[in-house]
Amino acid sequence: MIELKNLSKVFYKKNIEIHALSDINLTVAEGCVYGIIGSSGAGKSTLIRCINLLERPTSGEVLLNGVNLTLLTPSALAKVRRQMGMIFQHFNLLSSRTVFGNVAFPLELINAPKQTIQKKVLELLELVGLSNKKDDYPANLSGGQKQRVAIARALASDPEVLLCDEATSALDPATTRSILELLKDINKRLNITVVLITHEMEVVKAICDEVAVIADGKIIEQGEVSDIFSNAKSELTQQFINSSMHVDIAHDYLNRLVQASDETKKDLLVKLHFDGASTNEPVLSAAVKLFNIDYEIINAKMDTLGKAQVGVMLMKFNGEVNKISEAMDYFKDKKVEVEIIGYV
Amino acid sequence: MSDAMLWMLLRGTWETIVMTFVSGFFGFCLGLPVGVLLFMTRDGQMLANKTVNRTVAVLVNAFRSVPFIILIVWMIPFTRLVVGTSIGVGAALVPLSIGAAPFVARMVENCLLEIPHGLIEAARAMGAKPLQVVNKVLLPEALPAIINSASITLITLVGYSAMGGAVGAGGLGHIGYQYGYVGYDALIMNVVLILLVALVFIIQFLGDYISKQVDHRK
Repeated sequence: MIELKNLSKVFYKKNIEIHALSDINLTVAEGCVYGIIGSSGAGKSTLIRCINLLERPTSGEVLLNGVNLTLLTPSALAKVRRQMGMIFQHFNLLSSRTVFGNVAFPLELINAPKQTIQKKVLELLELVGLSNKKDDYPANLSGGQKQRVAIARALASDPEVLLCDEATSALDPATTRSILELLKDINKRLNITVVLITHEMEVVKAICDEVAVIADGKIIEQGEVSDIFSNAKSELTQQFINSSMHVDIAHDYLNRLVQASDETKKDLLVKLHFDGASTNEPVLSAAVKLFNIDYEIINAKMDTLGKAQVGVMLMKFNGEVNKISEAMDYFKDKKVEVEIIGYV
Repeated sequence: MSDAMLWMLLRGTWETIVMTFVSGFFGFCLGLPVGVLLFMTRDGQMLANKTVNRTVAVLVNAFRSVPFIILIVWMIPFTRLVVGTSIGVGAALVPLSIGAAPFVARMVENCLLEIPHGLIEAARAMGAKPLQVVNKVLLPEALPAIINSASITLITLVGYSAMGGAVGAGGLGHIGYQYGYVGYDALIMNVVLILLVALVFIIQFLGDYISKQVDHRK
């Protein structure tokens, strides 16, 4: 439904060419949740703005249902934009309008009759769970509530596509989850195609069907989320995956940590990385039985993507020194990456 | 103080109020659209147009740099054309309005620059046309700031209106100058000063109050 063909965008800053996007090709199927992930400055903001032509691409085509948007007149483009809702990192609500007024805004733009506006706005506020806030001003809302208002506003013109520009980056983890759930719900219930950009793999993992990884204005990898996770080809993609699989070592352990074992500190602290290449055998319990060692899970983050087990575990092993090192070799055999942290 | 003096001061106050508010009104009628035009034709805005922006900016600056007392005299032919006479309150209103307009234009432009760019972007993404952006986003969002600018403009006009005396428009400034300064009447001069200070305080107070009422950002 959305197709970007050979899309490029060049900015000029003091006569220096900056290639924000080069030769982007992308297809977003109807009804899917499409994630575009990249570090800051990778060009993802420019890319999503090219979809509704807030930024005009230097070359290439933007097709929505086969219509090339770059060729439209300004008024035709304004009409097409109503088929594409957009939400932003900083919400961009009008401070001079109440919640009701903000959601009514897109309907006022097309001079919808008063009763239609009234009915539609109340329906949407119901959908995002903010009916009781309709007469409040945005300044009195929390970040999550503001984003819900922004979502209701984006849906007011009955769009086919919802563009999300870092929609959860300014929110705390719990609020992020609830907003992502809402987006997924909208995608399923109203069959609205969602395109989102983010720098967090968590977001992609949570709701996306497909993902594209962008770096330096180029798409370096794209495909279904489960494929990318279990079989990332580029290093950057792997980094994004790892960052979402990050576990911290508690200060208590870090303070006690030594690099070589001694009388008092015999327990080995390791990180085991399961990156999808590892088999789904129960390697942990097998190792315990084989080498007669004890273990304790200190911190872990595991996930199932497609059929692959992906994640990282911070563990403490206790037992005979040579048995433990044999166990580590066993893990390596089973394609589990072993990262020795030290002894505690 | 004689009754006649009292009446004169009363009339002078009324003339100053009329000159300030009426020229303020016309100054805004002229300056507001120019300010919006200056903003909208800026680089990166919806109607970005270097030629228009530069031309308007040059005109605005030119009018702002003419000393007001000279503007009054220089504009006499035009004033006569518009109001039919070159003396009296009506005649002072023309240069006062024209003098205030470029000032207002710059003030309005500055107020609009304060609006987060994301709001304009969001409106564009929703398919808003330039005029809709102006009416539904820019002006409502900048309203608290514009009202503050209006009180600054009106207070400046209180000062300017004192020069209305040059075309026989009267007003408090003229009385203070004629009877107080030239006629060595300290009482009249001080009463005029107190009245002017009171007027300025009232304008500032009302401006702050209204601005706060329409501000929903906090």
